[in-house]
Amino acid sequence: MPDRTGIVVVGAGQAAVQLAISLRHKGVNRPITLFGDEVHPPYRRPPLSKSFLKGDTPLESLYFRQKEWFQQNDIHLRVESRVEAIDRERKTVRLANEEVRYGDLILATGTRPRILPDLHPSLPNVLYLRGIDDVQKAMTLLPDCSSVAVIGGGFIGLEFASVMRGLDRDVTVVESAPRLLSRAVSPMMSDWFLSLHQRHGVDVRLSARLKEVVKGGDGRVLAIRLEDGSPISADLIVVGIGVVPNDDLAADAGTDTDNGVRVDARLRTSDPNIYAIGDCCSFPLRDGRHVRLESVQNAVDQAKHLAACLAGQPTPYAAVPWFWTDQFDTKLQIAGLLRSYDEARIVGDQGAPSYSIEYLRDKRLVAVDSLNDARTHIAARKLLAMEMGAAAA
Amino acid sequence: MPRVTYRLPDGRDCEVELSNGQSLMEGAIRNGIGAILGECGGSAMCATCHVYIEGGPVGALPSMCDDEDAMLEEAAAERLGNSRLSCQIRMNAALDGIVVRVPEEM
Repeated sequence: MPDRTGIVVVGAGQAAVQLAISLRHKGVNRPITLFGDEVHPPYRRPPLSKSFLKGDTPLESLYFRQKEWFQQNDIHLRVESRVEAIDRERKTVRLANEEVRYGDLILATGTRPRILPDLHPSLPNVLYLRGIDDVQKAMTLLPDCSSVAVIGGGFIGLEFASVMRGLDRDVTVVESAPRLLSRAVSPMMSDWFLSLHQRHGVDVRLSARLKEVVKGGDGRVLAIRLEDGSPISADLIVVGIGVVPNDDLAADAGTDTDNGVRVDARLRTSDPNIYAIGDCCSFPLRDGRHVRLESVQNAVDQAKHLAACLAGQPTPYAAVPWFWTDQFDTKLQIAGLLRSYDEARIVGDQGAPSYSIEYLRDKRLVAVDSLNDARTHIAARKLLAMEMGAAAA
Repeated sequence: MPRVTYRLPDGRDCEVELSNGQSLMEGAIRNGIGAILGECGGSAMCATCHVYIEGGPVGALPSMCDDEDAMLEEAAAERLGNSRLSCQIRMNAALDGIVVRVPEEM
């Protein structure tokens, strides 16, 4: 009865692949099918806005595994296969021309970029960075491009800006908030990244909003104008203003969603045979608050955890979040989750090229930002894991 | 092209040619050396491409940077004196014949 016991994964990104690897590693021999809607086999995203964009990493190096590996491990990898609906009563997923049964269904659907209607991704010189195809579009446009406007001062936008400066393009970053990276880092870190970019010749506009987009007959964006009236001319416009979780399948099937597919501490949705992992997953922290994290760490740790649950070791999910970004000569590493803090301590010399900031709330460590300071970052991951264990006891 | 030998957890040796500039992590993935994951894609942010240097022209290896040294403390398999992150070792003619052992998958 293989069709009744099959594990079906919607998505073929890092969480999906890690889940398949970990299930096989734990000796789970149920049939596994991954449905991905892209043409590419599963691949890494972090290098897309870094080494791949620079041309330092060939395409094949982005792939997690060769096609043969999936065959050898009896994992059915289905690319260019979009799941259109879930039928929870019959326990099936529907694709364009077929219906596939599942025993357990895993949603690893990821996110999609938020779109600005005036700067639609179909325009010839407008880019959103999510997949390989987007970066390949950037690479074909770059030879004829001397100036770039980046809309959004988040991680993706700033990484793109830093690579573009390295390729000697003029770069303007337009951010609507009064500081860079405002959703992810402290004001101190925002200031640090502002001066890093300014030092490298990036024209950063804060509290700046788009007013007008001027297009030519072929849809090419010729110029953009900000609300304060200032014009920005750019050959290439890159938009990175955040993402939206792909939770429509879950919502349409009637399972709970709330900024993502809502799950319990075992990563289970309101349907006991449907789980969610990775960027699309809204999961509870120890204090019961739900969060959704977009990171390699979250994808990998949730996938490994769910594999253990499906292998018969169900425990509540708990992992220390970590994240990194590479910009110019700087690597920022973040351990923990910075929500609110009442104390910040500098570790090392704030003027130096490498130092860290520890953030505390009620005298307890909640997060650490490290600039070119891997040692402090690794120590912080261990400390935060101990804090978590202590909080659980 | 320079060659590298991956010594697998089951004792088999897998010798492959890599192009100059390709990292030992990329070479492992492209050649289906299953135990090397390279979760972070070569940014020295995870230690899933941990290998042990077993032989060959070890004097030609690049020296270890602080990031790699710190990250090896996170490796799932025990860190030994000959531990390296394979993403940080890029192939060149001088490294022809290098032998690395791949730890058991965790």
